[in-house]
Amino acid sequence: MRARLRLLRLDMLRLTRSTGVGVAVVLLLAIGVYTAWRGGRNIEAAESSAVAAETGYQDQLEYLLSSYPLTTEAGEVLYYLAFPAPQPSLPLAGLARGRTEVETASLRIRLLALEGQLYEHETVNPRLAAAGDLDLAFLLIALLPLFIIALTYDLVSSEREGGTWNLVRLFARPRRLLALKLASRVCLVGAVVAVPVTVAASLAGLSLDGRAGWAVALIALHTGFWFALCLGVASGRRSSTANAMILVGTWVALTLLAPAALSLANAILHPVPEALELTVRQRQGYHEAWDMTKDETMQGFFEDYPEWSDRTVPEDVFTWSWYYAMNHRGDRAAREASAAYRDVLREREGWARRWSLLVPPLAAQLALDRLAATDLGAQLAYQDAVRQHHERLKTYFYPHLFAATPINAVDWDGVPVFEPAALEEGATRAGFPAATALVLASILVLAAGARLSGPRAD
Amino acid sequence: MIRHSIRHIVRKEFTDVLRDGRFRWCSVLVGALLLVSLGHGWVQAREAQREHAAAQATARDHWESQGEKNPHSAAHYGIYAFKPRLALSFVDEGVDPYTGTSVWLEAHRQNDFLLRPAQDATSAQRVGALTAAQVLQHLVPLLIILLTFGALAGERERGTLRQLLATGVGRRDLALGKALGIAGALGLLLVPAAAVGAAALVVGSPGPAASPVARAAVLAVVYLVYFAAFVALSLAVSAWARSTRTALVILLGVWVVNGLVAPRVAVDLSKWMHPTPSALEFAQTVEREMATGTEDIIPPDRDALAERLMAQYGVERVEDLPINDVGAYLQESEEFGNRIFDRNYGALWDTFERQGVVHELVAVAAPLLAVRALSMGLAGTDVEQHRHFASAAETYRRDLMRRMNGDLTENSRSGDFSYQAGAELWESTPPLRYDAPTLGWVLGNRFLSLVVLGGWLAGTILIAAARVRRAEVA
Repeated sequence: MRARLRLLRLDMLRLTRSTGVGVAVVLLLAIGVYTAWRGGRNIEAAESSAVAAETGYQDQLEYLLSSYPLTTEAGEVLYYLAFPAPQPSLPLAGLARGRTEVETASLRIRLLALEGQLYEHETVNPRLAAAGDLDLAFLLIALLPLFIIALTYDLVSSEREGGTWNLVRLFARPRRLLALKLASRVCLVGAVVAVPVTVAASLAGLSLDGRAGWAVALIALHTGFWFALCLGVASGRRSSTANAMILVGTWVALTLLAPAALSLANAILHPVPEALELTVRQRQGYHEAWDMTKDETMQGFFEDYPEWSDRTVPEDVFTWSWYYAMNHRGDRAAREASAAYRDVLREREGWARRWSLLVPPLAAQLALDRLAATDLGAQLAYQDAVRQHHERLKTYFYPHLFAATPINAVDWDGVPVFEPAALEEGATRAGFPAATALVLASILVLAAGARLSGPRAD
Repeated sequence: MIRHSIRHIVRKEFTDVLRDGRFRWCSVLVGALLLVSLGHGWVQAREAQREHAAAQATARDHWESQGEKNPHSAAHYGIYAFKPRLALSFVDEGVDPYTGTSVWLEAHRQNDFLLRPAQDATSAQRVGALTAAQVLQHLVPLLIILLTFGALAGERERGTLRQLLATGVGRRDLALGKALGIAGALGLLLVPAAAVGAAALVVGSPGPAASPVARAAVLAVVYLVYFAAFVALSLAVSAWARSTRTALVILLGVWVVNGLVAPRVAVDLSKWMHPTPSALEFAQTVEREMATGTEDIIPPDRDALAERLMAQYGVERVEDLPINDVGAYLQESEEFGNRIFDRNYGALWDTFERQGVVHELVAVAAPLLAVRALSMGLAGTDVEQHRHFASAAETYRRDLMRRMNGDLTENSRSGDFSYQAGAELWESTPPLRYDAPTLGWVLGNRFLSLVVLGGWLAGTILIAAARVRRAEVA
């Protein structure tokens, strides 16, 4: 046992003494620790942005209440007042940023028509957004496999090409030597993975709950999958160069081509229905109401809110209750288009989840995003929460609008507070299919490698 | 004149590549991906162009047939503007998925662009979409590496380099011959793709563009320079490396840093050097300044304006004015708002452009960034051309608002809220006409990238020449 440990240490030393490996390790650790640190910073930024949204709201409210006469109708102030709806992010979101760059998780909504307010986004430079995002998940899912390939592609072939293979076969057991070399590489890669993950965990305040547990398991299984693939290929009789080309080709296919091809197929299979229709309909629905009798607009409103159908609105004067009913008419007109749009996005999400299982690394990435609640599904859930909040605000303010309550008679402290979207119950289990896909794929490539290369290691 | 020996080497390298099954399959795969992505991009661009033309017509129709209403109501009703897809956008979709292509122009507000395809995509797409630009920027260089890494290192390993040189072939001729042979093999892949692209451009151009053919020609040159730099770099490494294995590993390392690491590191670097406000901060600042103004941008005062107008027209009461003071006030508010927008959006765009410069400078370490900037620019899908359209749309919005407010001011009287304009006014408002920027404008923006890319070509050729001269024979 001790001899084996010494050999292991020797091989480790030999590995790390190589300049190429040294440079790669330093680079990966640097990027890893940096992304972990930045993940933590992003979470902090999201938290402080939620606070800023709340103070911004209080400031705006105070400004409006102080600059309008106290007898102003609430409806007029509500035209300007934007209510914050910040969604707190999970600690895991620092590790897998998913679509956070594309979306905002901190909308502010006014009592006006909602559809036009739901699709706001971060003020990010589109050029930078197009260049891609560097997060820990990208490092571990996309880049780390290349390091594993670089360490293992010549596991056997280097001995053969260096002329030492016959010596090994004479004096040692080849399988044991192979296992030893593999063990030292697993240790090295394990360290490269463990350091940034630990840093990320401590910076982002990651507690080892179900989600984090699955995330760590997925990362480990994904790393294991690439070792299995490399071992399957490297244990054959091909030259080092051929091994390297096969492995890099596989990496390109699994990491770059398959996700891009699946996305393309997804977009073709699930086209977004007349993307413009939604916003155009909402605007038309709202503006048409200017030319209609107020009663006509109100009837539509009362269909959705029968509890207020006993109220009346005068035809000849402007009332805020009618004005917001007009806004509601816009949302009503867009309702079908909006539902259809969301259905397509849900279909896209479900389809991607299912078909990604054929591409284990992609499945791992999507599962990580889902665990971190940074995927499309989480964004849709957030939008639903914002919709509900908008309804609660309507329920709260409509009695005041009908009664033309002045601003000093409204209980501003009692305004409903945004209730963030509940975390998807099934998300924790989302790791399971991806993990299964990774394990099965690992077994498959190992078996295929053994079969194709004939009796291994001799 | 090409000497005999070079011609032999070129022919040998060329047939070697064609005979090697692995390369054949790789080339077929990359070629197929290129054609598929070109074809899909073209179909999609045409579809988008058609949809946008239809939407633009519908929007105009809505505008003209909005019926009798107060011009200010019409200003609120507003109109959509659609960014045209330029002819070459099927090669490189650039930032379009992240900017959106339509904007609603209305009174009092400068809106953001809507409908960004990136918002509708799952996170599977974050590593990259399948576009011709992606294939050209990532996969073709990888193919070049696979074709070239063994060019000299392989000959040396097999001991044939010594024999070759012993026959009197010059080292430079050998390297040049190898490079040309590989270029020939690549040509089999790229020439048909270029022909398909050109045909797509000529047969059914998916959209308008200033000088599409010239843009396409420069685009082709840009990619050729990029590929040539990769061939030279691969030859240099192949001449220098002790074994084919080392050559391959080093070149793959270069490829990964160039394609995957550097662009993303550059993103963080540019954000760190030139931070942008969050959407929340930005919106709050604009709101605050719209309400209270800034030090030197003062919100219009309605009473003071009325006083001024009464003095100007020599009347005592607002009702006696020959114009409607509300219209004048609305126009003043509009101009006040415009100054606030220019201040804030201008600063934001400027920061974006400064970030862009940092991003472009990193191209010194990774030529992909220069190629990407040039490719987007020539395809008409870069940030600068987005801004170009956005400001054209905003200028149009301001003109529209001026017309509406002017009509209200001149054709109604103060205190009269019953005034309504009709189809005549709506129809007299010209539709938005947009001229895409010229090739010179695009290249002027991309001067830095041109220089850096040229530097890469010159540098790699020099290094390759030096390495080949000093290459060990065994």
